[in-house]
Amino acid sequence: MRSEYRAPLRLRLGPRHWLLLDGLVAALFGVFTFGILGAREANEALAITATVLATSTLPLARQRPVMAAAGALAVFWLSPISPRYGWIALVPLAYSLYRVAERHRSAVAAPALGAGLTATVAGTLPSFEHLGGVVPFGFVLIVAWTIGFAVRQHRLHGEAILRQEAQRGEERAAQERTRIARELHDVVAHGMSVITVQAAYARLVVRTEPAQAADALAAIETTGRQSLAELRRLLSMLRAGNGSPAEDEPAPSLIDLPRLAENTAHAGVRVDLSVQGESLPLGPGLELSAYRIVQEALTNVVKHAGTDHARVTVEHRPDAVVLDVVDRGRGGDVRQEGYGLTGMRERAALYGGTVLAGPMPDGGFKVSATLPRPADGTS
Amino acid sequence: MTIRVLIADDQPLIRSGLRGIVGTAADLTVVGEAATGLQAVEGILRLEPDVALMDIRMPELDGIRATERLTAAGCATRVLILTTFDLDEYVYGALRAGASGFLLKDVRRTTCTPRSASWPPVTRCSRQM
Repeated sequence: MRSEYRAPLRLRLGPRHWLLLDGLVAALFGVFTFGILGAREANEALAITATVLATSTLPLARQRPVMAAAGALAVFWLSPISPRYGWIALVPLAYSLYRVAERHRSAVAAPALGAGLTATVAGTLPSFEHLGGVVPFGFVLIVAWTIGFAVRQHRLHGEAILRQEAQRGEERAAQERTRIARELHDVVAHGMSVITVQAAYARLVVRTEPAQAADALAAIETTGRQSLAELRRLLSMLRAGNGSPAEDEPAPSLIDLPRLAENTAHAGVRVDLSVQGESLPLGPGLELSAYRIVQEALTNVVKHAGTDHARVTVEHRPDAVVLDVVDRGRGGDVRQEGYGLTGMRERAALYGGTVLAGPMPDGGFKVSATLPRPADGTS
Repeated sequence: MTIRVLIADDQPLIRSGLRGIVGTAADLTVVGEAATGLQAVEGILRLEPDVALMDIRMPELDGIRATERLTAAGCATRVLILTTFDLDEYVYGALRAGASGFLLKDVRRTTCTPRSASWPPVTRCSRQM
Protein backbone atom coordinates (compact mmCIF):
# COMPACT_ATOMS: atom_id res chain seq x y z
CA MET A 1 0.00 0.00 0.00
CA ARG A 2 2.83 2.35 0.80
CA SER A 3 4.46 1.78 -2.57
CA GLU A 4 1.20 2.45 -4.43
CA TYR A 5 0.39 5.75 -2.78
CA ARG A 6 3.18 8.28 -2.43
CA ALA A 7 2.85 11.74 -1.05
CA PRO A 8 4.23 14.69 -3.02
CA LEU A 9 7.98 14.94 -2.52
CA ARG A 10 7.64 18.23 -0.63
CA LEU A 11 5.62 16.51 2.11
CA ARG A 12 7.88 13.49 2.43
CA LEU A 13 10.93 15.56 3.34
CA GLY A 14 11.89 15.75 7.00
CA PRO A 15 13.83 18.55 8.72
CA ARG A 16 17.13 16.79 8.00
CA HIS A 17 16.37 16.58 4.29
CA TRP A 18 15.57 20.26 4.24
CA LEU A 19 18.82 21.07 5.99
CA LEU A 20 20.71 19.03 3.40
CA LEU A 21 18.90 20.77 0.53
CA ASP A 22 19.41 24.20 2.06
CA GLY A 23 23.07 23.33 2.58
CA LEU A 24 23.50 22.34 -1.08
CA VAL A 25 21.83 25.54 -2.30
CA ALA A 26 23.94 27.57 0.13
CA ALA A 27 27.14 25.88 -1.09
CA LEU A 28 26.28 26.68 -4.71
CA PHE A 29 25.45 30.23 -3.70
CA GLY A 30 28.70 30.56 -1.78
CA VAL A 31 30.87 29.32 -4.64
CA PHE A 32 29.01 31.49 -7.13
CA THR A 33 29.12 34.73 -5.14
CA PHE A 34 32.72 34.22 -4.18
CA GLY A 35 33.54 33.56 -7.83
CA ILE A 36 31.96 36.74 -9.17
CA LEU A 37 32.37 39.04 -6.16
CA GLY A 38 34.55 37.88 -3.29
CA ALA A 39 37.47 36.73 -5.41
CA ARG A 40 37.98 40.26 -6.69
CA GLU A 41 38.51 41.64 -3.21
CA ALA A 42 42.01 42.62 -2.21
CA ASN A 43 41.61 41.35 1.36
CA GLU A 44 41.12 37.67 0.58
CA ALA A 45 40.77 36.55 4.21
CA LEU A 46 37.97 39.02 4.86
CA ALA A 47 36.25 38.13 1.58
CA ILE A 48 36.30 34.42 2.39
CA THR A 49 35.09 35.01 5.94
CA ALA A 50 32.26 37.28 4.76
CA THR A 51 31.19 34.88 2.03
CA VAL A 52 31.19 31.92 4.39
CA LEU A 53 29.20 33.89 6.97
CA ALA A 54 26.65 35.13 4.43
CA THR A 55 26.35 31.64 2.98
CA SER A 56 25.90 29.94 6.33
CA THR A 57 22.85 32.09 7.13
CA LEU A 58 20.92 30.37 4.33
CA PRO A 59 20.53 26.94 5.97
CA LEU A 60 20.28 28.63 9.39
CA ALA A 61 17.30 30.83 8.44
CA ARG A 62 14.74 28.05 8.52
CA GLN A 63 15.37 27.31 12.20
CA ARG A 64 16.93 30.52 13.56
CA PRO A 65 15.79 33.34 11.30
CA VAL A 66 16.74 36.23 13.62
CA MET A 67 20.26 34.91 14.06
CA ALA A 68 20.54 34.41 10.29
CA ALA A 69 19.34 37.96 9.62
CA ALA A 70 21.88 39.32 12.10
CA GLY A 71 24.69 37.40 10.36
CA ALA A 72 23.65 38.61 6.92
CA LEU A 73 23.30 42.17 8.19
CA ALA A 74 26.81 42.05 9.66
CA VAL A 75 28.21 41.12 6.26
CA PHE A 76 26.14 43.86 4.64
CA TRP A 77 27.68 46.37 7.00
CA LEU A 78 31.06 45.58 5.43
CA SER A 79 29.82 47.60 2.45
CA PRO A 80 31.74 50.72 3.48
CA ILE A 81 34.91 48.65 2.88
CA SER A 82 33.66 47.48 -0.49
CA PRO A 83 30.18 47.59 -2.08
CA ARG A 84 30.65 43.95 -3.11
CA TYR A 85 29.92 42.87 0.46
CA GLY A 86 26.48 44.41 0.11
CA TRP A 87 25.86 42.35 -3.00
CA ILE A 88 27.12 39.20 -1.28
CA ALA A 89 24.77 39.76 1.67
CA LEU A 90 21.67 40.97 -0.19
CA VAL A 91 20.06 37.59 -0.96
CA PRO A 92 20.86 36.06 2.48
CA LEU A 93 19.49 39.16 4.22
CA ALA A 94 16.31 39.27 2.14
CA TYR A 95 15.74 35.54 2.63
CA SER A 96 16.30 35.62 6.40
CA LEU A 97 14.01 38.67 6.76
CA TYR A 98 11.36 36.65 4.90
CA ARG A 99 11.90 33.84 7.40
CA VAL A 100 11.79 36.23 10.40
CA ALA A 101 8.46 37.71 9.29
CA GLU A 102 7.07 34.27 8.53
CA ARG A 103 8.14 32.89 11.88
CA HIS A 104 7.87 35.69 14.47
CA ARG A 105 5.20 38.07 15.66
CA SER A 106 5.44 41.74 14.66
CA ALA A 107 7.14 42.76 17.92
CA VAL A 108 10.18 40.80 16.71
CA ALA A 109 9.69 40.95 12.96
CA ALA A 110 9.19 44.72 12.65
CA PRO A 111 12.41 45.71 14.50
CA ALA A 112 14.22 43.05 12.47
CA LEU A 113 13.02 44.74 9.27
CA GLY A 114 14.10 48.13 10.68
CA ALA A 115 17.55 46.78 11.45
CA GLY A 116 17.70 45.13 8.05
CA LEU A 117 16.90 48.42 6.32
CA THR A 118 19.95 50.07 7.88
CA ALA A 119 21.83 47.88 5.41
CA THR A 120 20.68 50.20 2.63
CA VAL A 121 22.40 53.05 4.44
CA ALA A 122 25.52 50.95 4.89
CA GLY A 123 25.54 50.49 1.13
CA THR A 124 25.99 54.24 0.63
CA LEU A 125 28.85 54.64 3.06
CA PRO A 126 31.46 55.89 3.50
CA SER A 127 31.02 58.64 0.91
CA PHE A 128 27.30 58.56 0.12
CA GLU A 129 28.28 57.66 -3.43
CA HIS A 130 25.66 55.05 -4.18
CA LEU A 131 22.57 56.84 -2.93
CA GLY A 132 20.66 55.38 -5.87
CA GLY A 133 21.03 51.92 -4.33
CA VAL A 134 18.95 52.76 -1.28
CA VAL A 135 15.60 52.42 -3.00
CA PRO A 136 16.04 49.11 -4.86
CA PHE A 137 17.86 47.47 -1.93
CA GLY A 138 15.18 48.67 0.49
CA PHE A 139 12.49 47.53 -1.93
CA VAL A 140 13.90 44.00 -2.15
CA LEU A 141 14.15 43.69 1.64
CA ILE A 142 10.64 45.07 2.26
CA VAL A 143 9.08 42.80 -0.36
CA ALA A 144 10.79 39.73 1.10
CA TRP A 145 9.67 40.67 4.60
CA THR A 146 6.10 41.39 3.44
CA ILE A 147 5.79 38.02 1.73
CA GLY A 148 6.86 36.34 4.98
CA PHE A 149 4.37 38.45 6.91
CA ALA A 150 1.55 37.49 4.55
CA VAL A 151 2.42 33.80 4.74
CA ARG A 152 2.35 34.04 8.53
CA GLN A 153 -1.03 35.84 8.59
CA HIS A 154 -2.47 33.26 6.26
CA ARG A 155 -1.30 30.45 8.52
CA LEU A 156 -2.49 32.16 11.72
CA HIS A 157 -5.91 32.77 10.20
CA GLY A 158 -6.26 29.11 9.29
CA GLU A 159 -5.14 28.03 12.74
CA ALA A 160 -7.55 30.43 14.45
CA ILE A 161 -10.45 29.06 12.47
CA LEU A 162 -9.46 25.50 13.28
CA ARG A 163 -9.10 26.32 16.97
CA GLN A 164 -12.43 28.09 17.08
CA GLU A 165 -14.11 25.18 15.40
CA ALA A 166 -12.42 22.75 17.78
CA GLN A 167 -13.85 24.69 20.71
CA ARG A 168 -17.33 24.76 19.26
CA GLY A 169 -17.00 21.07 18.57
CA GLU A 170 -16.05 20.32 22.13
CA GLU A 171 -19.11 22.15 23.35
CA ARG A 172 -21.31 20.26 20.95
CA ALA A 173 -19.77 16.95 21.98
CA ALA A 174 -20.34 17.82 25.64
CA GLN A 175 -23.99 18.58 24.96
CA GLU A 176 -24.33 15.36 23.05
CA ARG A 177 -22.74 13.40 25.91
CA THR A 178 -25.06 15.04 28.42
CA ARG A 179 -28.07 14.10 26.33
CA ILE A 180 -26.93 10.50 25.99
CA ALA A 181 -26.16 10.33 29.71
CA ARG A 182 -29.64 11.62 30.51
CA GLU A 183 -31.27 9.02 28.29
CA LEU A 184 -29.11 6.27 29.74
CA HIS A 185 -30.01 7.42 33.22
CA ASP A 186 -33.70 7.27 32.38
CA VAL A 187 -33.44 3.76 31.05
CA VAL A 188 -31.47 2.59 34.05
CA ALA A 189 -33.45 4.58 36.60
CA HIS A 190 -36.80 3.40 35.33
CA GLY A 191 -36.08 -0.10 34.14
CA MET A 192 -33.36 -1.34 36.44
CA SER A 193 -34.84 0.00 39.65
CA VAL A 194 -38.17 -1.63 38.92
CA ILE A 195 -36.40 -4.89 38.16
CA THR A 196 -34.32 -4.71 41.33
CA VAL A 197 -37.19 -3.82 43.62
CA GLN A 198 -39.54 -6.39 42.12
CA ALA A 199 -36.87 -9.09 42.21
CA ALA A 200 -36.16 -8.33 45.86
CA TYR A 201 -39.87 -8.65 46.58
CA ALA A 202 -40.25 -11.86 44.54
CA ARG A 203 -37.37 -13.49 46.39
CA LEU A 204 -38.91 -12.47 49.68
CA VAL A 205 -42.31 -14.04 48.98
CA VAL A 206 -41.46 -16.84 46.56
CA ARG A 207 -42.28 -19.56 49.16
CA THR A 208 -45.05 -17.91 51.12
CA GLU A 209 -46.95 -16.24 48.29
CA PRO A 210 -45.97 -17.85 44.96
CA ALA A 211 -48.72 -16.03 43.05
CA GLN A 212 -47.36 -12.65 44.15
CA ALA A 213 -43.86 -13.77 43.27
CA ALA A 214 -45.07 -14.80 39.81
CA ASP A 215 -46.66 -11.35 39.33
CA ALA A 216 -43.38 -9.73 40.31
CA LEU A 217 -41.48 -11.95 37.85
CA ALA A 218 -43.94 -11.00 35.11
CA ALA A 219 -43.33 -7.34 35.89
CA ILE A 220 -39.58 -7.98 35.76
CA GLU A 221 -39.91 -9.69 32.38
CA THR A 222 -41.97 -6.87 30.87
CA THR A 223 -39.73 -4.17 32.26
CA GLY A 224 -36.63 -6.03 31.10
CA ARG A 225 -37.98 -6.23 27.58
CA GLN A 226 -38.87 -2.56 27.52
CA SER A 227 -35.46 -1.60 28.84
CA LEU A 228 -33.76 -3.73 26.20
CA ALA A 229 -35.76 -2.03 23.47
CA GLU A 230 -34.82 1.36 24.93
CA LEU A 231 -31.15 0.42 25.10
CA ARG A 232 -31.26 -0.83 21.52
CA ARG A 233 -32.71 2.50 20.45
CA LEU A 234 -30.04 4.38 22.40
CA LEU A 235 -27.26 2.29 20.91
CA SER A 236 -28.54 2.74 17.37
CA MET A 237 -28.69 6.45 18.07
CA LEU A 238 -25.06 6.37 19.18
CA ARG A 239 -24.13 4.55 16.01
CA ALA A 240 -26.32 6.71 13.79
CA GLY A 241 -24.81 7.88 10.55
CA ASN A 242 -21.90 5.48 10.72
CA GLY A 243 -23.56 2.69 8.83
CA SER A 244 -23.80 -0.77 10.28
CA PRO A 245 -21.76 -3.39 8.49
CA ALA A 246 -22.96 -6.96 8.55
CA GLU A 247 -21.77 -8.63 11.67
CA ASP A 248 -19.68 -11.29 9.97
CA GLU A 249 -17.79 -8.70 7.94
CA PRO A 250 -14.49 -7.65 9.51
CA ALA A 251 -14.44 -4.04 10.66
CA PRO A 252 -12.77 -1.79 8.10
CA SER A 253 -9.33 -0.38 8.89
CA LEU A 254 -6.80 1.95 7.31
CA ILE A 255 -5.82 -0.81 4.87
CA ASP A 256 -9.26 -0.39 3.31
CA LEU A 257 -8.73 3.28 2.47
CA PRO A 258 -7.83 2.61 -1.21
CA ARG A 259 -11.19 0.85 -1.58
CA LEU A 260 -12.89 3.80 0.13
CA ALA A 261 -11.09 6.13 -2.29
CA GLU A 262 -12.38 4.05 -5.21
CA ASN A 263 -15.93 4.12 -3.90
CA THR A 264 -15.73 7.86 -3.39
CA ALA A 265 -14.54 8.20 -7.01
CA HIS A 266 -17.72 6.41 -8.06
CA ALA A 267 -19.63 9.07 -6.14
CA GLY A 268 -17.94 11.70 -8.28
CA VAL A 269 -15.03 12.80 -6.12
CA ARG A 270 -11.54 11.72 -7.14
CA VAL A 271 -9.42 11.05 -4.07
CA ASP A 272 -5.63 11.31 -3.92
CA LEU A 273 -4.52 9.10 -1.09
CA SER A 274 -1.04 9.32 0.31
CA VAL A 275 0.44 7.42 3.19
CA GLN A 276 3.56 8.64 4.92
CA GLY A 277 5.73 7.01 7.50
CA GLU A 278 5.88 3.42 8.58
CA SER A 279 2.40 2.01 9.12
CA LEU A 280 2.52 -0.05 12.28
CA PRO A 281 -0.69 -1.77 13.36
CA LEU A 282 -2.86 0.38 15.63
CA GLY A 283 -5.30 -2.13 17.00
CA PRO A 284 -8.75 -2.79 15.54
CA GLY A 285 -10.67 -0.16 17.53
CA LEU A 286 -8.37 2.70 16.61
CA GLU A 287 -8.07 1.50 13.00
CA LEU A 288 -11.85 1.43 12.68
CA SER A 289 -12.19 4.91 14.17
CA ALA A 290 -9.51 6.27 11.85
CA TYR A 291 -11.25 4.70 8.86
CA ARG A 292 -14.63 6.07 9.90
CA ILE A 293 -13.27 9.58 10.39
CA VAL A 294 -11.86 9.59 6.85
CA GLN A 295 -15.09 8.09 5.55
CA GLU A 296 -17.20 10.72 7.28
CA ALA A 297 -14.96 13.53 6.04
CA LEU A 298 -15.13 12.24 2.45
CA THR A 299 -18.89 11.91 2.72
CA ASN A 300 -18.99 15.58 3.66
CA VAL A 301 -16.86 16.42 0.63
CA VAL A 302 -19.27 14.52 -1.64
CA LYS A 303 -22.33 16.08 -0.03
CA HIS A 304 -21.27 19.65 0.59
CA ALA A 305 -18.03 20.66 -1.11
CA GLY A 306 -19.23 20.84 -4.70
CA THR A 307 -15.86 19.68 -5.98
CA ASP A 308 -14.60 16.63 -7.83
CA HIS A 309 -11.32 16.24 -6.02
CA ALA A 310 -10.11 15.64 -2.47
CA ARG A 311 -6.80 14.75 -0.91
CA VAL A 312 -6.40 12.28 1.95
CA THR A 313 -3.12 12.08 3.80
CA VAL A 314 -2.35 9.45 6.41
CA GLU A 315 0.78 10.26 8.31
CA HIS A 316 2.16 7.59 10.62
CA ARG A 317 4.18 9.37 13.25
CA PRO A 318 6.00 7.54 16.03
CA ASP A 319 3.50 8.80 18.58
CA ALA A 320 0.33 9.30 16.57
CA VAL A 321 -1.52 8.89 13.32
CA VAL A 322 -2.54 12.10 11.61
CA LEU A 323 -5.37 12.00 9.09
CA ASP A 324 -5.92 14.99 6.81
CA VAL A 325 -8.81 15.29 4.39
CA VAL A 326 -8.60 18.41 2.27
CA ASP A 327 -10.75 19.64 -0.60
CA ARG A 328 -10.67 22.78 -2.69
CA GLY A 329 -14.44 23.05 -2.87
CA ARG A 330 -16.94 25.40 -1.38
CA GLY A 331 -15.52 25.41 2.13
CA GLY A 332 -18.54 26.77 3.87
CA ASP A 333 -19.67 27.05 7.40
CA VAL A 334 -18.86 24.07 9.55
CA ARG A 335 -21.87 24.67 11.74
CA GLN A 336 -24.11 23.42 9.00
CA GLU A 337 -22.27 20.12 8.98
CA GLY A 338 -22.14 19.77 12.73
CA TYR A 339 -23.50 16.31 12.97
CA GLY A 340 -20.82 14.48 11.07
CA LEU A 341 -18.06 16.45 12.76
CA THR A 342 -19.49 15.75 16.19
CA GLY A 343 -19.41 12.05 15.38
CA MET A 344 -15.80 12.29 14.21
CA ARG A 345 -14.81 14.12 17.39
CA GLU A 346 -16.43 11.54 19.61
CA ARG A 347 -14.70 8.74 17.75
CA ALA A 348 -11.35 10.50 18.10
CA ALA A 349 -12.00 11.38 21.74
CA LEU A 350 -12.55 7.69 22.53
CA TYR A 351 -8.84 7.21 21.85
CA GLY A 352 -7.66 10.51 23.29
CA GLY A 353 -7.45 12.09 19.86
CA THR A 354 -8.64 15.39 18.44
CA VAL A 355 -10.32 16.54 15.26
CA LEU A 356 -9.82 20.00 13.81
CA ALA A 357 -12.08 21.04 10.98
CA GLY A 358 -12.88 24.26 9.19
CA PRO A 359 -12.92 26.17 5.96
CA MET A 360 -9.55 27.28 4.65
CA PRO A 361 -8.94 30.98 4.06
CA ASP A 362 -8.44 30.54 0.33
CA GLY A 363 -11.45 28.27 -0.16
CA GLY A 364 -11.91 24.61 0.46
CA PHE A 365 -12.29 22.69 3.66
CA LYS A 366 -9.92 20.74 5.85
CA VAL A 367 -10.50 18.03 8.42
CA SER A 368 -7.47 17.03 10.43
CA ALA A 369 -7.60 14.22 12.99
CA THR A 370 -4.77 13.28 15.32
CA LEU A 371 -5.05 9.91 17.01
CA PRO A 372 -2.34 9.11 19.55
CA ARG A 373 -0.71 5.74 19.06
CA PRO A 374 -1.44 3.41 21.97
CA ALA A 375 1.65 2.77 24.08
CA ASP A 376 1.60 -1.01 23.61
CA GLY A 377 0.75 -0.94 19.92
CA THR A 378 -2.80 -2.18 20.40
CA SER A 379 -6.07 -0.67 21.45
CA MET B 1 -44.61 -1.03 67.98
CA THR B 2 -45.48 -0.96 64.29
CA ILE B 3 -43.81 1.60 62.09
CA ARG B 4 -46.23 3.21 59.65
CA VAL B 5 -44.80 3.79 56.18
CA LEU B 6 -45.92 5.86 53.18
CA ILE B 7 -44.42 5.15 49.74
CA ALA B 8 -44.11 7.95 47.20
CA ASP B 9 -42.86 7.02 43.72
CA ASP B 10 -44.26 7.78 40.28
CA GLN B 11 -43.67 4.24 39.00
CA PRO B 12 -46.47 1.86 40.04
CA LEU B 13 -44.16 -1.16 39.78
CA ILE B 14 -41.70 0.40 42.21
CA ARG B 15 -44.53 1.20 44.62
CA SER B 16 -45.97 -2.30 44.43
CA GLY B 17 -42.54 -3.88 44.89
CA LEU B 18 -41.69 -1.69 47.89
CA ARG B 19 -45.15 -2.22 49.33
CA GLY B 20 -44.61 -5.97 49.08
CA ILE B 21 -41.17 -5.83 50.67
CA VAL B 22 -42.23 -3.51 53.48
CA GLY B 23 -45.40 -5.52 54.00
CA THR B 24 -43.52 -8.76 54.68
CA ALA B 25 -41.79 -7.23 57.68
CA ALA B 26 -43.81 -7.84 60.82
CA ASP B 27 -43.23 -4.46 62.43
CA LEU B 28 -43.74 -2.34 59.29
CA THR B 29 -47.04 -1.46 57.72
CA VAL B 30 -47.77 0.55 54.58
CA VAL B 31 -50.43 3.13 55.29
CA GLY B 32 -50.45 4.96 52.00
CA GLU B 33 -48.99 5.50 48.52
CA ALA B 34 -48.43 8.56 46.40
CA ALA B 35 -47.56 8.92 42.72
CA THR B 36 -46.60 12.60 42.75
CA GLY B 37 -44.91 15.01 45.11
CA LEU B 38 -48.17 16.85 45.77
CA GLN B 39 -49.96 13.62 46.62
CA ALA B 40 -47.10 12.71 48.90
CA VAL B 41 -47.27 15.99 50.83
CA GLU B 42 -51.04 15.76 51.09
CA GLY B 43 -50.98 12.07 52.16
CA ILE B 44 -48.20 12.52 54.71
CA LEU B 45 -49.86 15.53 56.34
CA ARG B 46 -53.15 13.64 56.50
CA LEU B 47 -51.90 10.18 57.54
CA GLU B 48 -48.87 11.26 59.58
CA PRO B 49 -46.83 8.10 58.91
CA ASP B 50 -43.62 7.50 60.87
CA VAL B 51 -41.54 7.10 57.71
CA ALA B 52 -42.00 8.22 54.10
CA LEU B 53 -40.04 6.62 51.27
CA MET B 54 -39.72 9.47 48.80
CA ASP B 55 -38.61 9.23 45.17
CA ILE B 56 -36.75 12.27 43.86
CA ARG B 57 -38.03 12.52 40.30
CA MET B 58 -41.78 12.75 40.44
CA PRO B 59 -44.28 14.81 38.44
CA GLU B 60 -45.88 18.01 39.79
CA LEU B 61 -43.42 18.33 42.65
CA ASP B 62 -40.12 16.53 43.06
CA GLY B 63 -39.21 14.63 46.19
CA ILE B 64 -36.80 17.26 47.47
CA ARG B 65 -39.36 20.07 47.16
CA ALA B 66 -41.96 17.87 48.80
CA THR B 67 -39.58 17.23 51.70
CA GLU B 68 -38.97 20.98 51.99
CA ARG B 69 -42.68 21.60 52.33
CA LEU B 70 -43.04 18.90 54.96
CA THR B 71 -40.13 20.33 56.95
CA ALA B 72 -41.61 23.82 56.66
CA ALA B 73 -44.94 22.47 57.90
CA GLY B 74 -43.19 21.04 60.97
CA CYS B 75 -44.15 17.49 60.09
CA ALA B 76 -42.68 14.78 62.33
CA THR B 77 -42.53 12.17 59.54
CA ARG B 78 -39.01 11.01 58.75
CA VAL B 79 -38.33 11.21 55.03
CA LEU B 80 -36.07 8.63 53.41
CA ILE B 81 -35.12 9.62 49.89
CA LEU B 82 -35.24 6.86 47.30
CA THR B 83 -32.63 7.22 44.59
CA THR B 84 -31.16 5.19 41.78
CA PHE B 85 -27.68 6.61 42.12
CA ASP B 86 -26.21 8.26 45.16
CA LEU B 87 -25.43 11.48 43.34
CA ASP B 88 -23.96 14.21 45.51
CA GLU B 89 -26.22 16.94 44.14
CA TYR B 90 -29.27 15.01 45.30
CA VAL B 91 -27.76 14.01 48.63
CA TYR B 92 -27.02 17.56 49.72
CA GLY B 93 -30.22 18.96 48.28
CA ALA B 94 -32.32 16.41 50.09
CA LEU B 95 -30.49 16.69 53.41
CA ARG B 96 -30.80 20.48 53.26
CA ALA B 97 -34.50 20.02 52.61
CA GLY B 98 -34.78 18.02 55.81
CA ALA B 99 -34.56 14.39 54.72
CA SER B 100 -33.38 11.90 57.34
CA GLY B 101 -31.56 9.54 55.05
CA PHE B 102 -31.24 7.77 51.75
CA LEU B 103 -32.31 4.48 50.37
CA LEU B 104 -30.73 3.37 47.12
CA LYS B 105 -33.11 1.58 44.83
CA ASP B 106 -30.79 -1.40 44.65
CA VAL B 107 -32.34 -2.38 47.96
CA ARG B 108 -31.42 -5.66 49.59
CA ARG B 109 -33.71 -7.45 51.87
CA THR B 110 -31.34 -7.02 54.79
CA THR B 111 -31.18 -3.25 54.48
CA CYS B 112 -34.90 -3.08 53.93
CA THR B 113 -36.15 -4.81 57.04
CA PRO B 114 -35.92 -3.10 60.41
CA ARG B 115 -34.81 -6.32 62.11
CA SER B 116 -31.43 -5.59 60.66
CA ALA B 117 -29.49 -2.85 62.38
CA SER B 118 -28.60 -1.41 58.97
CA TRP B 119 -31.68 0.80 58.70
CA PRO B 120 -30.70 3.35 61.29
CA PRO B 121 -33.12 6.14 60.37
CA VAL B 122 -36.07 3.94 61.17
CA THR B 123 -34.73 2.71 64.49
CA ARG B 124 -33.71 6.17 65.48
CA CYS B 125 -37.02 7.64 64.49
CA SER B 126 -39.07 4.96 66.26
CA ARG B 127 -37.07 5.40 69.42
CA GLN B 128 -37.61 9.13 69.35
CA MET B 129 -41.32 8.82 68.92
